[in-house]
Amino acid sequence: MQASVKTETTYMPTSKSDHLATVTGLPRRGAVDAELMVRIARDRDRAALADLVIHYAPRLKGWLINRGEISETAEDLVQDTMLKVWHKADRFDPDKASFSTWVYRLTRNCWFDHKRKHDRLQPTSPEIMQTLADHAVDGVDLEYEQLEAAAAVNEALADLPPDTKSMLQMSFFEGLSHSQIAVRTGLPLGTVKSRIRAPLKRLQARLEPYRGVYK
Amino acid sequence: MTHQPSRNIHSTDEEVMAAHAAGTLPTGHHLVLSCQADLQPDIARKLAAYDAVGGAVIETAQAEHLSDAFIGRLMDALDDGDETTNPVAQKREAPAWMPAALAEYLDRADIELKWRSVGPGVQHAPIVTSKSGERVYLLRAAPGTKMPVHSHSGEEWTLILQGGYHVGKIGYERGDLHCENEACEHQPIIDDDGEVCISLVADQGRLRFRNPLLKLFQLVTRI
Repeated sequence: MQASVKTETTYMPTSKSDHLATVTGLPRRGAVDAELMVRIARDRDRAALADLVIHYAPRLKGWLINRGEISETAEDLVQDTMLKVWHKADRFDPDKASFSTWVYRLTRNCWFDHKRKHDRLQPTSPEIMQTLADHAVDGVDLEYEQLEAAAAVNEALADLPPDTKSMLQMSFFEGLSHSQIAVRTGLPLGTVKSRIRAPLKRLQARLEPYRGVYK
Repeated sequence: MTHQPSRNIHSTDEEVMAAHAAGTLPTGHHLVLSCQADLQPDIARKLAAYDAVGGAVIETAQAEHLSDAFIGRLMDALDDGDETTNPVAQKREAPAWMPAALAEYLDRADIELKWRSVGPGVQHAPIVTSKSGERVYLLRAAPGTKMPVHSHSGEEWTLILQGGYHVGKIGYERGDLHCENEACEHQPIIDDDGEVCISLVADQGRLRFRNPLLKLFQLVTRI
């Protein structure tokens, strides 16, 4: 994970947008995304969508490839996700979740939809979960201040030692189990569990002040 | 809650929550945990925190190269109208005991619950049966019912949606998640308090009954 450095995408846009892939580092990301979403919802601003696509599409594609999808399918699913961002922009509520969390859930949802529709012959799990990301987007009733909360998440992650960040990356991005992370890193399973658990507990504690009243 | 469930997922299993966020839980277990979040704000808060980590990880994840035509294709598709919503899905009126995550799943997958009797006082409504043997179903049992002694060929998760039951001295009620390993034989006894017990179950493979007659019964009922 490259939390404290400026990141650049590998993508260069080709049409209908002159936006280049200049991407801020993590600390400003939440505020930038929120502004872009306002422009999309209020002004139907395609350039704002292109900005979000430039940063997130290559990374969401990576997440899907780590779930076993081929490149073409992953791009189709990212396109479906970004179409949802466009069409459902007015449903994005920065008081409930940051854009990165919202778009991550949308992607997970698109992936579940895809599995339900196309992977019926796969031996495991095609049927069920297509609803969950949508549900989570609308249903999780967190009432914290988006920017502060997102900053808290980012600070919590930025403070971590590199090996712990790398383990979170393996867990959330690559989808590895703790046992698989232990094999990958050569560390005992208990060490992997405790190193992942500690920052998550701290993160939950840091999010606590932003928590509001549940329905 | 006055009782102490043997294994209630929310207090112990960070890895399960992380797997939920990462999308790597078995599908039935993913649904059950999402439903539990509807019933327990503490679970919802934790899952949301894990999703926030997922989002933050995505912000800085390694970028995968996109094909050159990607953004042109996307921009062209913006004009096609909103085809991202399934118009076929019909909203049904959800009963009070049904968590929103389950109601929404049934709507989107266009599943109508069909209850059928699988024994005295017990009804079963299948939701998912995958080729791998993973199953998700609802069970509805009359107050005071003694369920048969059984075990499983995989881990069973049972989320109580209405009413409650006891296994030995341990009680489970609405919002509790009861997890049993495959090795463990157990016999839930529905609380005799006048309320029908409804639970959402995710398991793998067939139930294993101790009673040979029930094994025969199983052939007929396919539970």
